[in-house]
Amino acid sequence: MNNVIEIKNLCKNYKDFSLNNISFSLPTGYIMGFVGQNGAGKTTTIRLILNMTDRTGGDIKIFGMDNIKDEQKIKQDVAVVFDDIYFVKNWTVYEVEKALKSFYVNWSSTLYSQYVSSFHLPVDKKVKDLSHGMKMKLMLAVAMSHEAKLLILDEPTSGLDPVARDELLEILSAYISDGQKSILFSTHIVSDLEKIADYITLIDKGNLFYTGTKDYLLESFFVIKGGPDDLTNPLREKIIGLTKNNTGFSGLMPASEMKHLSKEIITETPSIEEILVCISKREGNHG
Amino acid sequence: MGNVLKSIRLDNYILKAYYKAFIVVYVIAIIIGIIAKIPALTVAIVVVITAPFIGTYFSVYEKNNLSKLYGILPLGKFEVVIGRYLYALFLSIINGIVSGILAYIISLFLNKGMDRLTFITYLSASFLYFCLFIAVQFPIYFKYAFSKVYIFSNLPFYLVFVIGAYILNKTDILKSLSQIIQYFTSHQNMIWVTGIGLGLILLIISCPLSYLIYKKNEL
Amino acid sequence: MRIIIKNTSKEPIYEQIKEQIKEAILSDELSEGDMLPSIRQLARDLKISVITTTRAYTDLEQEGFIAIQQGKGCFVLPKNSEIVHEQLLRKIEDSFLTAVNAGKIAKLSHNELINILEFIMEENRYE
Repeated sequence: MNNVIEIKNLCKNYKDFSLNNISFSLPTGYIMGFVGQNGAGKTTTIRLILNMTDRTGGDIKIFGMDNIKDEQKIKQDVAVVFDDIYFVKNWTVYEVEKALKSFYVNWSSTLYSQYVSSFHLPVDKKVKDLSHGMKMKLMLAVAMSHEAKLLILDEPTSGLDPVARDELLEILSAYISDGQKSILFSTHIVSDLEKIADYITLIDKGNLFYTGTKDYLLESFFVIKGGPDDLTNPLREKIIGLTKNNTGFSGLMPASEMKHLSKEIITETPSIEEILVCISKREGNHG
Repeated sequence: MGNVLKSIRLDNYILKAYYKAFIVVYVIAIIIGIIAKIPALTVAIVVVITAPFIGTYFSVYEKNNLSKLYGILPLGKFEVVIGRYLYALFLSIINGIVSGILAYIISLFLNKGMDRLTFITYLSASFLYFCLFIAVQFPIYFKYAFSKVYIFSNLPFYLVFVIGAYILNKTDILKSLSQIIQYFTSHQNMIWVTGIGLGLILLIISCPLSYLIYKKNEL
Repeated sequence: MRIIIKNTSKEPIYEQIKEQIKEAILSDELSEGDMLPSIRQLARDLKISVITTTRAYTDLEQEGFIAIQQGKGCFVLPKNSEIVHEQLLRKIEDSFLTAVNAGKIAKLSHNELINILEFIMEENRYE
């Protein structure tokens, strides 16, 4: 198996937050959704991957190379889209290319102009005058013009309207269709990932909750719902993130625990969002 | 070396939009040079103002999230730091040359001819001042956000003027100074050597310091 | 070929794809040797995960409907009459089961149910 990202036991301690033993890997050619509530440690992990901050422990390999030792080699083939743009706001779309192209061996001006026109970016407009969606597309155009093999997206959709979000998904689907490129997509707007993601890594308060295929995640849990009387004590113990009110209860349950449920209890396949909400609510969740 | 050049080029692109501020600087410097009838003053003013101008790089950096850009680019931290110092140096040299030519034209205009000693003194002193400014400010800006420290980091240079004014009022200090001045008038080449040499030494000390600070910094 | 994904469906997406391709093959809309979109192309077109389309195709391959060839793509295999027959039988059983369950709820008698079947067969000129 050929992995673009391989993270083992990654740790980072801050005064008020710590990332504990995060491990996951992303095979070449796939999209991984990197999911967790705000403050779960997604951005910290991405900053560690990019060596923008020092890790306390663990190991990060990108394209099979150490992310610190071979940082510059790796960064030739990595591109990042952040939720806010990081180009000088006075630059025009045209100047962005001029300023950045010399850094990348694989930069193609033809590709850049192709993407700029297919994304409908006005060449003479300044970065600061672009809409939120256009700024994101500009970052994507830069990423794709040097044919980055790994595209990292850090909360790219948080300020986008539904149309722009849909466009993004379309662009990403097209980008990985040659099987050579991979995407790590960090977000708390999980609906974006529901269809497109192949793998999901779910972290909660600095801890890894799940990493693996999306299908397996969705098969491993069920949402269960029932009336107030159906909630027995042994059942209560098994439910993750129980919500209770006068008319009934709902919560998440591992598929392995589903055998002895009474018939009155309704079971449903969860969405990633429901899983996320339930695990962040679970009791004994330190942090 | 390639990456250092790229780093310098990027600095140039980042500050490009602000270069037009120099038009104002040049106009003022020329007017003062003409009024004071000292063409070399034009050079000194331009070179001295180049220093805080380069400080605006760090302001642009902060306002435009450039820490993220630098986090992504395939560019080492050492290349970034040394590139910044070289960029500052280049900018001061280019400004020195352009304003030097202007000063020469002014001197022709004033029918005065360029006084070599004055010219060397003003140029060397302003270059030394420029280097001191950069050498003190860069490590501070590599460490702290521009908006938080910029008033504080300018303080030493206000002090330079206060101390200068104080010295000029004390005749005994002036007396000992006059010995130094005499030395320099008889060894004019030493003015070059002292000004430029001392300036470069300051930069050479400051650069690794900035690197150590920047390396530890989180982007 | 048309493939439509229903987000509201209880069926998983890979199952929906599988069924629709199967339908197309059984109804002769797709015939032997026809190329299917590649796994990645289909994922891109439907904006879904590559793993999902991979699963649909490998299931179809295992059931003997299509062949996946690395680098060449996926194409429809000759209809294996046994498999087709099997599939159709299962479909018939499923449909009857649905009918029987509905009959139970409506409390129809044995004969009433048979009558309905015969009536429908007559209507559709079933030989």
